[in-house]
Amino acid sequence: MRYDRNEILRSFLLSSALDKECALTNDELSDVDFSRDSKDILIESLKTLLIAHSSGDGEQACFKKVNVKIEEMSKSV
Amino acid sequence: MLIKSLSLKNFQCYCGELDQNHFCFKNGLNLIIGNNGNGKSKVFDGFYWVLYDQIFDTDIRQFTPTSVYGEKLISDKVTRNCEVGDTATAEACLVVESSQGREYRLTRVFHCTKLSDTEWMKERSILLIEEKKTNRWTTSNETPDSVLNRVIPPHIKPYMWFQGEQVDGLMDLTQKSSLAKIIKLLSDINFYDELVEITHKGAEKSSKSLLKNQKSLSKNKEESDRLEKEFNDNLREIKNLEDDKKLANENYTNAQSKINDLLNKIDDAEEKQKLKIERANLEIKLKANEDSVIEKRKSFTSKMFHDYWILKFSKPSLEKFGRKYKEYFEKHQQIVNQNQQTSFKLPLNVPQPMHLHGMLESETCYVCNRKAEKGSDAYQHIEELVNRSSSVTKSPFECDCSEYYDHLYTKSIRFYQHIETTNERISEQFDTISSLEADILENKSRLDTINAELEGLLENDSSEDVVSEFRRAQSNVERFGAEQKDIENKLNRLSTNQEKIKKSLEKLTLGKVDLALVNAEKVFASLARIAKSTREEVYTQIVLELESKANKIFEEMTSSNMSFKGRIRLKRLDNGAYKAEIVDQEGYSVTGSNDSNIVLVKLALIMAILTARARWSDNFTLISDAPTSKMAHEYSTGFYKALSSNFSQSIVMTYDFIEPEDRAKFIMENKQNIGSIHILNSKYASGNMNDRTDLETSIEEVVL
Repeated sequence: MRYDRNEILRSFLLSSALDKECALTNDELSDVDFSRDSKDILIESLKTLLIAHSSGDGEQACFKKVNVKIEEMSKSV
Repeated sequence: MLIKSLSLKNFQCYCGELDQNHFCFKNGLNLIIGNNGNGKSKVFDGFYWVLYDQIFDTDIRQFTPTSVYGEKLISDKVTRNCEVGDTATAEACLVVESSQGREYRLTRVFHCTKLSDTEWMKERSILLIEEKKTNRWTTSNETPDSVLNRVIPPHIKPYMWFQGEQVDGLMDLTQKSSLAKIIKLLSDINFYDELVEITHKGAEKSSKSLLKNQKSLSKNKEESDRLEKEFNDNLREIKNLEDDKKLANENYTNAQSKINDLLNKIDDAEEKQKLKIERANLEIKLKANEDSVIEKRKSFTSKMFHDYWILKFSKPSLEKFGRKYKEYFEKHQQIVNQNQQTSFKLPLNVPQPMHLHGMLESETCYVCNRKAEKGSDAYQHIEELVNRSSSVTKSPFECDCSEYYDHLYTKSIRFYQHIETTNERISEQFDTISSLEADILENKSRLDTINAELEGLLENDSSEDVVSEFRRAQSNVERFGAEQKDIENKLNRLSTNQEKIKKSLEKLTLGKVDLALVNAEKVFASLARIAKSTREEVYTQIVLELESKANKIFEEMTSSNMSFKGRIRLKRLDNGAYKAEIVDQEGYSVTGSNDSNIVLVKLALIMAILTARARWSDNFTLISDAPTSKMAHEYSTGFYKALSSNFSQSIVMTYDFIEPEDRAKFIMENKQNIGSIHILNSKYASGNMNDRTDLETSIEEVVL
């Protein structure tokens, strides 16, 4: 089955748990999409994971890509 | 892909060339109408054979490979006329079109050579796949599987290509897992399940990496080792407890279902219903009260700090501080005032700078209204006042802590107000808990009475076995309920302990832990929680959508039948699974629905899943052989209407509308949604109806 990653990202952004875990405001969350950098480490890691998994990457490749993203963002902090 | 045509050559009862046995299909509902024995099922076989190289063997009621089915696949009329050494051929050709407009022709060919009157030499069937390019058919470069899986993806095949007699087996409404299985198969929930799995593993992995890094920087390796071991042991225990929790939930749900099943055996419907409602309400209230008591007990710790209960015994100290502060304040003020009096004649900052500038400009003192000419003492004094701010900073104190004491005093007043009412609020909290506990006891006792009354009703109607079964189920509900709570408490304790271990390890660390590892641990832990919660929310949403869609289709199918049909409800069970059931207007489960109704519910649910979310119904053809065989006539018409309004293309083999009047009426009412209608007719050339080799099936396309 082909998955619509935009729709999946939307369902994550609407989830009650994300609201609790994420530092972004509701307005900032409503602007989140795959094309813009939100500067939030959690959101950017989630986006990386969704892109990797929806393009068919395996578990290890997904971990690697998310870890690289976290590393990049940790350096820039 | 949607299907454009099917042609058969000497395939079973379809004797003759491909162009003689040709079905042309369009978007919408395509009906192939024929009486029993007229070759409807053979058309279904034709579709199946092209794709899967299998034939439904009616003798053994299962699909059989061509190599086993052999010469029976070829028209009897053709094989009868074969001489020894002759080769007979059967062929089926399917033309399909993808959503991008690419057309494919799939032809399966099977040859058989007659060796003797009873013996045939079978060849392996061949599948030829061609693609239409610039109006010419050329051999496709794609692999057969890639094309075949696009004609009908294997996982949706059982729900889109089925025979009427298979409907019942497609979904078992009595099984809790059956709906979940189909939702998992046909919706995008699998993607979320995979994300839950990945993030969970990621959280474990990143947590271990961080521990390893912390351990390498530890000032006490031995203690770090011990803490790490404890952490991993806890992790294992958490995993085991989570499995136990699933099991306990499952057992609890089963025990609850058992009670409901047993209660359904009671004949006194009104009394049973009344007791069941009261029982359900009491159970909800009981659970809410129990949760509330747990919550209130837990909140004692937080209230110690948030509501300053911890300061309950500090009243005398605060009073003493208040007295001391007053003494201090008076003395401090005295010194401040004395200092101001010696420094300035005017109150502080009066006149204000803007007026001083005015005085200097007009060379007049605004205070006494006398002249203050430039160079005079008065003018000089006004000039000094302009610069007074710098001279004011001179404080009479070496270290002035008045602001800090003032802040402390203000705070202490706030605490004092809280302390005054602390006893009262602690008592209130205990009173609330006592009252909730009294309610719980009362509810439990009433529940026991209701259960006894229900048991009494059961005794009147059923055997002793049923009553003892009821008692057993009742005690199981209590036992598994207690087990659930116990596991929950253990899990809470363990996760608190894990947090403590993490903090202790942090404290043992010397130097800087890799920030990326710290972030990875936090991010993956958050992602795991978010993925789990999002999956639950999406699943609930899918179920709600399905329920609404299935009811819409169910209503569409049953609109012309005036008898009671009920409504489909997808009921959430305590273990998180959903069970499909038929309920009445008030939402009570209806038992003893007729077969026709159950088949409709199943079809409505399957159609709802196929049309929801992934929208398989837009891109693939539903093919069914006699799906309405168990339905009343009005339901059949409703079924076709629902099919045509929900699926881009459907092909149904049926004996409905065999009568020309019925057919004409249906066409008139549904012309817009009908793609094509083909009528199958059988004839025996020599008139001997007992000779199957004489059978010829002809196809007549109805002009719409």
